Amino acid sequence: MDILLACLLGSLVIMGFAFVKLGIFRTVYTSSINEQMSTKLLEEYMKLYKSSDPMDIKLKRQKELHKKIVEHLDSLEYVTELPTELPDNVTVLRKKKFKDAC
Amino acid sequence: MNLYEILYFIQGNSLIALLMALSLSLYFQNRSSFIIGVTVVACCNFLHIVFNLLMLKLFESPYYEGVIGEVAVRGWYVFYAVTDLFAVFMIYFLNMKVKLKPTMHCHIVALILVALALFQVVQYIGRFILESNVFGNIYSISIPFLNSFMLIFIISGLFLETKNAIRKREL
Repeated sequence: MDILLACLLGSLVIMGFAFVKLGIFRTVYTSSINEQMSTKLLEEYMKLYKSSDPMDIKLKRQKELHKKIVEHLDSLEYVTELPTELPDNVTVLRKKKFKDAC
Repeated sequence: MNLYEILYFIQGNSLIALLMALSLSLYFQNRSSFIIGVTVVACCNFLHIVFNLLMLKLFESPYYEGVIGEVAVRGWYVFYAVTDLFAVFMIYFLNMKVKLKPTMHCHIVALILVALALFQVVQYIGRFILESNVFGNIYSISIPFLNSFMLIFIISGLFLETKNAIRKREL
């Protein structure tokens, strides 16, 4: 019985290792947070992009947000679905990221 | 040793073989949809072994007589069918989450799991609804056969994938 229990515990360890190595825990638990963050950042970016703020303030904030988006995308292993109406620089970035991921 | 005994022997040791193959594959390659599928199958196998042990304990105990025993025997088939189908769901769900497209190997493993669940349901219907052992022989042959086939298929699949991964790494 003790040997059997040891074998079962050993199996659990191997399966746990497999789940960690395959990145399943990380992906399942972080993907929803990443999706929320991507959406939030991009919504703000798009809002500003379409707004009628004075050009210098708008550009400054846009630059900041763009930097944030780049940082965020870099932290992701795979890029989740993004809006299609993005400005060119972000679209290029998205394509590049997808290419890298593939 | 006849074929029946060989199949039961393979089925009985499938978790050990699966975990050994899985560990080796994980050492040599990163991740693939098939390895995710194999991990899910190993988890499912693990659950079956634990459940089997609990049931054997129950059969030896005095509680086996009466309603508890009846529920346990019915639950036996239901548990196997549900875990097999849940494993199929998990294979596709996890592959979707890690953004991998399930390969043909993965589909075949899922198909075998569905077939296993189907045989459990058929035996349940035969035994408790039709109240006969009409599917008994089919059941007792098909389950170890499918389990053994799945194990051989998984090990050969992992071997081929690992071989390809090593070749790619060397290039």
